[in-house]
Amino acid sequence: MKKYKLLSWIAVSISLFLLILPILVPICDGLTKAGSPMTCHYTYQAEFIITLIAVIVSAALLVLRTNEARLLAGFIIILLAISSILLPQSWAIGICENGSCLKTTFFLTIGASLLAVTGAGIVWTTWDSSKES
Amino acid sequence: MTVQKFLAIAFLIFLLGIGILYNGVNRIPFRNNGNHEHHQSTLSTGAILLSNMSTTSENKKGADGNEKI
Repeated sequence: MKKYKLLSWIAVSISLFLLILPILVPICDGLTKAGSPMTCHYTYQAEFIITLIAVIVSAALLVLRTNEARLLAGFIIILLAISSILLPQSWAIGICENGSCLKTTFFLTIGASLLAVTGAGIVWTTWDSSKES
Repeated sequence: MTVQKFLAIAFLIFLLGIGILYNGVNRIPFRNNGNHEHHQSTLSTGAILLSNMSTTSENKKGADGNEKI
C-alpha cells in the first residue's frame, strides 16, 4: 500500500512536470512565412490536453479505493504516456526539423517514458494486491 | 475525499485547463504578434539584389561552363 501511494505521487509529479514543460523548455516561438504557427505548436497544444488528463487520472489514483479502478487508472496512465511520446513523431503531428522544440521533445520523451514506467508499476502493484485478496 | 467530489473538482480543473489552452497561457507567446515584430535585417536591399543576381547567373551556367539557352 505504501508503494502504491508513492507511485501515485510520482505519477502526479511527472504529469504536472509534463504539463508545464513547454514553459520550462520553450518550443519554437516564431511563425511560418504564411503567418501560421509551426507544427510543433499544434503538437504541444495536443500534448497539453493529454497531460492534463494524465494529471487528473494520476490524482484519481489517490482517491480510488477498489483494485479494479486502480488497475484501470494505471493502465490509462500508460496509454496516455505512450500517446504523448507518439504525438511529436512525423507520422502523427510532428515537430520542426531544426527548432528549439527538439529539446522540449527530448525532455518530454524522458518524462513520458518515466510516467509509463510508473503507470506499469501501479498496475503491477495493484495486480499483486488484488491476487492476494 | 469521495469520488463524486473528486470528479466535480477534476471537471472544473479540466475546464480551467481548456481555458488556459485557449488563452495560450500554457506556452510562451509568439515572437511576432502584436508589438513584437521580427527583427529587421540591416542588410541593404541593393546588396541582397546583387547577391541574388550572382547566384542566378551561376545557376544558369551548365556543367561545361557555358550559359544555358
